[in-house]
Amino acid sequence: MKFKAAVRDPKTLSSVCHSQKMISKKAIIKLHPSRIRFISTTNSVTDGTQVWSSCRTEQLFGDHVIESKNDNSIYVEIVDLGQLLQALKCAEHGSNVTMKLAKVDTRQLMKLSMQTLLERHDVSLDVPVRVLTELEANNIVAPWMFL
Amino acid sequence: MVYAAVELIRRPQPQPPADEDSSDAPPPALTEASVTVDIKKFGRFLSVRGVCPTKVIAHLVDDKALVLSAYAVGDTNLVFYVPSLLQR
Repeated sequence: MKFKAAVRDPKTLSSVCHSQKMISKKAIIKLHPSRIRFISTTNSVTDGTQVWSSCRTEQLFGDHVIESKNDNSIYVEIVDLGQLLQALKCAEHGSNVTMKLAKVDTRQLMKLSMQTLLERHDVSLDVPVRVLTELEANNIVAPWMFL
Repeated sequence: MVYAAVELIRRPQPQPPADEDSSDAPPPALTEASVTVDIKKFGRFLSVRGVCPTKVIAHLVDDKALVLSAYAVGDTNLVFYVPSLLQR
């Protein structure tokens, strides 16, 4: 499983994540070479609101490598969208922004690396994530309105 | 609701009972739909202004849900599903 990409449009990525955060602090992002999908759900008993978003991968990412044994799809749960939004906010003011799925010890991370515009410092920000198993990914179902 | 954005929702065609003559008459058209949703939940949808939508479509699924699809440049879309407060 491998994900590495240059972030081409941090503003759109940030806007979509902001909309997802209005529903839930957590979100699932499906990374795929053709489309990136975002899914946020709330407790179906107490709230039931959901938001499903998608963007063309080429719009958000350049020079991307997205590989997995599950049809090259990687499902990552962003544990705290606020952290990702903060990192993306920094990315809007940086250059050469890249995103990479990494593992440090047992922790899974989405690592955002960039250069600051003024002093050309390299900055790296870690966002905790959890990679979903294939079984968990298969259990993600959109609401069917006619049931 | 499908995985992608919702452009058009088609009501599933009811299957005629097996022991009756099948009729070619279409199911009665739904001329009115209403749904009651929590305004706070609806308000969350307004956060889509950040993606500068070029088109927004609202679907009322009678007594079940409000579904809002927002489309933006670059084939970006967001679908909000807001269930009704009271479901029959």
